[in-house]
Amino acid sequence: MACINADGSLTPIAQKVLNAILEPAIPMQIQQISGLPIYRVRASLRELMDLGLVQQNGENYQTTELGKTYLTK
Amino acid sequence: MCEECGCECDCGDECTCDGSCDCCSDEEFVGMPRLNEPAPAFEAVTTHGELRLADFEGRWLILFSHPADFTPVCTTEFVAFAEIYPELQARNVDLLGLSIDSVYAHIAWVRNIEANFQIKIPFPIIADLDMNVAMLYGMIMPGASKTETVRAVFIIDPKGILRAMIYYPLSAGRNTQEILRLIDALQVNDKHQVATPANWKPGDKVILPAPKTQEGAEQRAAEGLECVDWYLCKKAL
Repeated sequence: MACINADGSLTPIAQKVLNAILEPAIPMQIQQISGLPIYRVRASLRELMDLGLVQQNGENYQTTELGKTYLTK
Repeated sequence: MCEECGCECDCGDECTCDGSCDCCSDEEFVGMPRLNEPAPAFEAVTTHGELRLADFEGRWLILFSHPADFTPVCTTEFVAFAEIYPELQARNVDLLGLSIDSVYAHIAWVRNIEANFQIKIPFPIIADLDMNVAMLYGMIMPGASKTETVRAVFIIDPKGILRAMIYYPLSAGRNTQEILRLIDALQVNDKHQVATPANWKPGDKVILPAPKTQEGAEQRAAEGLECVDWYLCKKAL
Protein backbone atom coordinates (compact mmCIF):
# COMPACT_ATOMS: atom_id res chain seq x y z
CA MET A 1 0.00 0.00 0.00
CA ALA A 2 1.46 3.32 -1.07
CA CYS A 3 -1.23 5.31 0.77
CA ILE A 4 -1.49 3.67 4.19
CA ASN A 5 1.41 3.00 6.54
CA ALA A 6 1.74 -0.27 8.46
CA ASP A 7 0.29 1.45 11.57
CA GLY A 8 -2.84 2.46 9.64
CA SER A 9 -1.90 6.13 9.26
CA LEU A 10 -1.79 7.96 5.95
CA THR A 11 1.46 8.23 4.03
CA PRO A 12 2.63 11.78 3.24
CA ILE A 13 1.56 11.29 -0.39
CA ALA A 14 -1.95 10.21 0.61
CA GLN A 15 -2.19 13.21 2.95
CA LYS A 16 -1.23 15.55 0.11
CA VAL A 17 -3.82 14.04 -2.22
CA LEU A 18 -6.63 14.05 0.36
CA ASN A 19 -5.86 17.64 1.36
CA ALA A 20 -5.88 18.67 -2.31
CA ILE A 21 -9.42 17.39 -2.83
CA LEU A 22 -11.32 18.69 0.16
CA GLU A 23 -13.08 20.51 -2.66
CA PRO A 24 -13.77 18.54 -5.90
CA ALA A 25 -10.89 18.61 -8.37
CA ILE A 26 -9.67 16.84 -11.50
CA PRO A 27 -6.29 15.03 -11.54
CA MET A 28 -4.45 17.90 -13.26
CA GLN A 29 -5.68 20.32 -10.57
CA ILE A 30 -4.70 17.85 -7.87
CA GLN A 31 -1.24 17.65 -9.42
CA GLN A 32 -0.91 21.45 -9.29
CA ILE A 33 -2.18 21.74 -5.73
CA SER A 34 -0.19 18.82 -4.33
CA GLY A 35 2.98 19.19 -6.39
CA LEU A 36 2.98 15.44 -7.02
CA PRO A 37 3.70 13.87 -10.42
CA ILE A 38 0.52 13.07 -12.36
CA TYR A 39 1.24 9.32 -12.28
CA ARG A 40 1.36 9.40 -8.49
CA VAL A 41 -1.87 11.39 -8.34
CA ARG A 42 -3.70 8.89 -10.54
CA ALA A 43 -2.29 5.84 -8.72
CA SER A 44 -3.07 7.33 -5.31
CA LEU A 45 -6.63 8.24 -6.32
CA ARG A 46 -7.21 4.67 -7.45
CA GLU A 47 -5.96 3.27 -4.15
CA LEU A 48 -7.74 5.85 -2.00
CA MET A 49 -11.00 5.14 -3.83
CA ASP A 50 -10.58 1.41 -3.14
CA LEU A 51 -10.17 2.31 0.55
CA GLY A 52 -13.30 4.48 0.50
CA LEU A 53 -11.33 7.63 1.32
CA VAL A 54 -12.05 9.29 -2.03
CA GLN A 55 -15.15 9.42 -4.19
CA GLN A 56 -15.38 10.16 -7.89
CA ASN A 57 -18.11 12.26 -9.48
CA GLY A 58 -17.61 12.48 -13.23
CA GLU A 59 -14.05 13.73 -13.76
CA ASN A 60 -13.86 15.21 -10.25
CA TYR A 61 -12.51 13.57 -7.13
CA GLN A 62 -13.25 14.53 -3.54
CA THR A 63 -12.23 13.34 -0.09
CA THR A 64 -15.01 11.39 1.64
CA GLU A 65 -16.09 11.89 5.26
CA LEU A 66 -14.07 8.76 6.09
CA GLY A 67 -11.09 10.30 4.33
CA LYS A 68 -11.44 13.45 6.40
CA THR A 69 -11.38 11.42 9.61
CA TYR A 70 -8.07 9.85 8.49
CA LEU A 71 -6.67 13.35 7.91
CA THR A 72 -7.43 14.32 11.49
CA LYS A 73 -5.91 11.15 13.02
CA MET B 1 -0.25 -32.09 -25.44
CA CYS B 2 3.34 -32.68 -26.51
CA GLU B 3 3.75 -36.32 -27.44
CA GLU B 4 7.53 -36.29 -27.16
CA CYS B 5 7.60 -35.53 -23.46
CA GLY B 6 3.94 -35.49 -22.47
CA CYS B 7 3.81 -31.89 -21.26
CA GLU B 8 1.19 -29.24 -21.97
CA CYS B 9 2.16 -26.59 -24.46
CA ASP B 10 0.16 -23.45 -23.80
CA CYS B 11 1.88 -20.96 -26.06
CA GLY B 12 0.56 -22.00 -29.47
CA ASP B 13 -0.75 -24.89 -31.52
CA GLU B 14 2.65 -26.12 -32.55
CA CYS B 15 4.56 -28.02 -29.91
CA THR B 16 8.31 -27.41 -29.88
CA CYS B 17 9.03 -29.65 -26.94
CA ASP B 18 12.73 -30.57 -26.73
CA GLY B 19 12.25 -33.50 -24.40
CA SER B 20 12.75 -31.52 -21.20
CA CYS B 21 9.18 -30.18 -21.09
CA ASP B 22 10.55 -26.75 -21.94
CA CYS B 23 7.77 -26.04 -24.40
CA CYS B 24 8.08 -23.12 -26.79
CA SER B 25 10.79 -21.63 -24.63
CA ASP B 26 12.15 -19.44 -27.39
CA GLU B 27 8.70 -18.39 -28.67
CA GLU B 28 7.91 -16.75 -25.35
CA PHE B 29 10.52 -14.09 -25.95
CA VAL B 30 9.77 -13.01 -29.51
CA GLY B 31 6.96 -10.52 -28.84
CA MET B 32 8.00 -7.03 -29.87
CA PRO B 33 5.99 -3.84 -29.67
CA ARG B 34 5.71 -1.81 -32.87
CA LEU B 35 6.43 1.83 -33.52
CA ASN B 36 3.47 4.17 -34.00
CA GLU B 37 1.09 1.69 -32.36
CA PRO B 38 -0.31 1.94 -28.80
CA ALA B 39 2.32 0.90 -26.27
CA PRO B 40 1.28 -2.33 -24.50
CA ALA B 41 -0.75 -1.57 -21.39
CA PHE B 42 0.49 -2.88 -18.05
CA GLU B 43 -0.01 -2.67 -14.31
CA ALA B 44 3.08 -3.27 -12.24
CA VAL B 45 4.56 -3.07 -8.77
CA THR B 46 7.09 -0.25 -8.60
CA THR B 47 9.16 1.57 -6.02
CA HIS B 48 6.41 4.24 -6.08
CA GLY B 49 3.54 1.76 -5.57
CA GLU B 50 1.37 0.02 -8.17
CA LEU B 51 1.38 1.93 -11.42
CA ARG B 52 -0.31 1.55 -14.80
CA LEU B 53 0.93 2.79 -18.14
CA ALA B 54 -2.25 4.92 -18.32
CA ASP B 55 -1.12 6.80 -15.20
CA PHE B 56 1.45 8.60 -17.39
CA GLU B 57 -1.08 9.73 -20.01
CA GLY B 58 -0.59 13.36 -21.01
CA ARG B 59 3.18 13.21 -20.56
CA TRP B 60 6.00 11.62 -22.53
CA LEU B 61 7.39 8.49 -20.92
CA ILE B 62 10.79 6.84 -21.20
CA LEU B 63 10.36 3.22 -20.13
CA PHE B 64 13.77 1.60 -19.84
CA SER B 65 15.04 -1.75 -18.66
CA HIS B 66 18.34 -2.71 -17.08
CA PRO B 67 19.78 -6.21 -16.53
CA ALA B 68 20.00 -6.22 -12.73
CA ASP B 69 20.29 -4.11 -9.59
CA PHE B 70 23.68 -3.74 -7.90
CA THR B 71 25.60 -4.19 -11.14
CA PRO B 72 28.28 -1.74 -12.26
CA VAL B 73 27.11 -0.60 -15.71
CA CYS B 74 23.49 -0.27 -14.54
CA THR B 75 24.60 1.81 -11.59
CA THR B 76 26.39 4.28 -13.89
CA GLU B 77 23.27 4.42 -16.06
CA PHE B 78 20.98 5.16 -13.13
CA VAL B 79 23.25 7.98 -12.02
CA ALA B 80 23.20 9.30 -15.61
CA PHE B 81 19.40 9.07 -15.82
CA ALA B 82 19.06 10.85 -12.48
CA GLU B 83 21.37 13.60 -13.77
CA ILE B 84 19.19 14.30 -16.82
CA TYR B 85 15.96 14.02 -14.82
CA PRO B 86 15.51 17.82 -14.44
CA GLU B 87 16.02 18.27 -18.18
CA LEU B 88 13.47 15.56 -18.88
CA GLN B 89 10.95 17.14 -16.51
CA ALA B 90 11.37 20.45 -18.34
CA ARG B 91 10.43 18.58 -21.54
CA ASN B 92 7.29 17.02 -19.99
CA VAL B 93 8.97 13.60 -19.83
CA ASP B 94 8.74 11.00 -17.08
CA LEU B 95 11.13 8.10 -16.51
CA LEU B 96 10.21 4.56 -15.52
CA GLY B 97 12.88 1.92 -14.95
CA LEU B 98 12.46 -1.87 -14.96
CA SER B 99 14.36 -5.01 -14.13
CA ILE B 100 13.58 -8.55 -13.05
CA ASP B 101 14.37 -7.82 -9.42
CA SER B 102 12.19 -7.45 -6.34
CA VAL B 103 10.97 -4.09 -5.11
CA TYR B 104 13.11 -4.60 -1.99
CA ALA B 105 16.23 -5.04 -4.14
CA HIS B 106 15.29 -1.86 -6.03
CA ILE B 107 14.82 0.09 -2.81
CA ALA B 108 18.13 -1.15 -1.38
CA TRP B 109 19.98 -0.33 -4.62
CA VAL B 110 18.44 3.14 -4.92
CA ARG B 111 19.49 3.87 -1.33
CA ASN B 112 22.96 2.51 -2.08
CA ILE B 113 23.30 4.79 -5.12
CA GLU B 114 22.16 7.74 -3.05
CA ALA B 115 24.79 6.94 -0.39
CA ASN B 116 27.64 6.34 -2.82
CA PHE B 117 26.94 9.00 -5.44
CA GLN B 118 25.02 11.63 -3.44
CA ILE B 119 22.23 11.63 -6.02
CA LYS B 120 18.58 10.70 -5.49
CA ILE B 121 16.81 8.39 -7.94
CA PRO B 122 13.57 10.34 -8.34
CA PHE B 123 11.73 8.05 -10.74
CA PRO B 124 9.90 4.75 -10.13
CA ILE B 125 11.35 1.33 -11.00
CA ILE B 126 9.18 -1.65 -11.94
CA ALA B 127 9.85 -4.86 -10.02
CA ASP B 128 9.04 -7.25 -12.87
CA LEU B 129 9.64 -10.54 -11.10
CA ASP B 130 7.01 -12.35 -13.20
CA MET B 131 8.54 -10.81 -16.37
CA ASN B 132 5.10 -9.69 -17.56
CA VAL B 133 6.16 -6.23 -18.70
CA ALA B 134 9.50 -7.49 -20.01
CA MET B 135 7.66 -9.99 -22.22
CA LEU B 136 5.15 -7.41 -23.42
CA TYR B 137 7.93 -5.10 -24.55
CA GLY B 138 10.42 -7.66 -25.87
CA MET B 139 13.02 -6.70 -23.30
CA ILE B 140 14.38 -10.23 -22.98
CA MET B 141 16.75 -11.40 -25.67
CA PRO B 142 17.49 -15.08 -24.98
CA GLY B 143 20.79 -14.90 -26.83
CA ALA B 144 21.95 -12.33 -24.28
CA SER B 145 20.18 -13.68 -21.19
CA LYS B 146 16.96 -15.55 -20.47
CA THR B 147 16.66 -14.15 -16.98
CA GLU B 148 17.74 -10.53 -17.39
CA THR B 149 16.38 -7.71 -19.49
CA VAL B 150 18.70 -6.08 -22.00
CA ARG B 151 19.19 -2.31 -21.99
CA ALA B 152 16.00 -1.33 -23.83
CA VAL B 153 14.55 2.16 -24.12
CA PHE B 154 10.96 2.85 -25.18
CA ILE B 155 9.76 6.38 -25.78
CA ILE B 156 5.99 6.68 -25.43
CA ASP B 157 4.18 9.88 -26.35
CA PRO B 158 1.47 11.64 -24.28
CA LYS B 159 -1.24 9.70 -26.15
CA GLY B 160 0.32 6.36 -25.27
CA ILE B 161 1.79 5.71 -28.72
CA LEU B 162 5.18 4.02 -28.91
CA ARG B 163 7.37 6.45 -30.84
CA ALA B 164 10.92 5.10 -30.55
CA MET B 165 12.83 2.05 -29.36
CA ILE B 166 16.54 1.63 -28.72
CA TYR B 167 18.25 -1.60 -27.68
CA TYR B 168 21.71 -1.81 -26.16
CA PRO B 169 23.54 -5.01 -25.20
CA LEU B 170 24.30 -5.99 -21.63
CA SER B 171 27.89 -4.82 -21.94
CA ALA B 172 27.43 -1.24 -23.19
CA GLY B 173 25.88 1.53 -21.10
CA ARG B 174 23.46 3.95 -22.73
CA ASN B 175 24.14 7.51 -23.86
CA THR B 176 21.59 9.66 -22.04
CA GLN B 177 22.46 12.69 -24.17
CA GLU B 178 21.34 10.73 -27.23
CA ILE B 179 18.08 9.90 -25.45
CA LEU B 180 17.56 13.61 -24.69
CA ARG B 181 18.38 14.44 -28.31
CA LEU B 182 15.83 11.88 -29.51
CA ILE B 183 13.16 13.34 -27.24
CA ASP B 184 13.94 16.82 -28.60
CA ALA B 185 13.73 15.53 -32.17
CA LEU B 186 10.38 13.78 -31.60
CA GLN B 187 8.90 16.86 -29.95
CA VAL B 188 10.13 19.10 -32.79
CA ASN B 189 8.80 16.60 -35.35
CA ASP B 190 5.36 16.76 -33.75
CA LYS B 191 5.24 20.51 -33.13
CA HIS B 192 6.41 21.63 -36.57
CA GLN B 193 5.52 18.64 -38.77
CA VAL B 194 9.12 18.34 -39.96
CA ALA B 195 11.85 15.71 -39.88
CA THR B 196 15.34 16.03 -38.47
CA PRO B 197 18.58 15.17 -40.30
CA ALA B 198 21.41 12.94 -39.10
CA ASN B 199 23.10 14.22 -35.97
CA TRP B 200 20.50 16.98 -35.61
CA LYS B 201 20.50 18.88 -32.37
CA PRO B 202 18.24 21.67 -31.11
CA GLY B 203 18.91 24.89 -33.04
CA ASP B 204 19.98 23.09 -36.24
CA LYS B 205 17.92 23.34 -39.41
CA VAL B 206 15.16 20.79 -39.93
CA ILE B 207 14.03 18.89 -43.03
CA LEU B 208 10.75 19.60 -44.77
CA PRO B 209 8.71 16.59 -45.88
CA ALA B 210 9.51 15.77 -49.52
CA PRO B 211 6.82 16.93 -51.98
CA LYS B 212 4.52 14.13 -53.12
CA THR B 213 3.64 15.53 -56.56
CA GLN B 214 5.56 16.95 -59.51
CA GLU B 215 3.69 20.20 -59.02
CA GLY B 216 4.73 20.24 -55.38
CA ALA B 217 8.36 19.64 -56.34
CA GLU B 218 8.33 22.60 -58.74
CA GLN B 219 6.72 24.79 -56.09
CA ARG B 220 9.25 23.67 -53.46
CA ALA B 221 12.17 24.64 -55.73
CA ALA B 222 10.71 28.13 -56.06
CA GLU B 223 10.20 28.65 -52.31
CA GLY B 224 13.71 29.93 -51.71
CA LEU B 225 14.58 27.30 -49.07
CA GLU B 226 17.99 25.78 -48.52
CA CYS B 227 17.64 22.86 -50.94
CA VAL B 228 20.24 20.37 -52.12
CA ASP B 229 17.57 19.14 -54.51
CA TRP B 230 13.78 19.25 -54.61
CA TYR B 231 13.46 16.31 -52.19
CA LEU B 232 15.98 17.56 -49.61
CA CYS B 233 15.16 21.00 -48.33
CA LYS B 234 16.02 22.43 -44.93
CA LYS B 235 14.75 25.41 -42.99
CA ALA B 236 15.47 27.07 -39.69
CA LEU B 237 12.76 27.02 -37.07
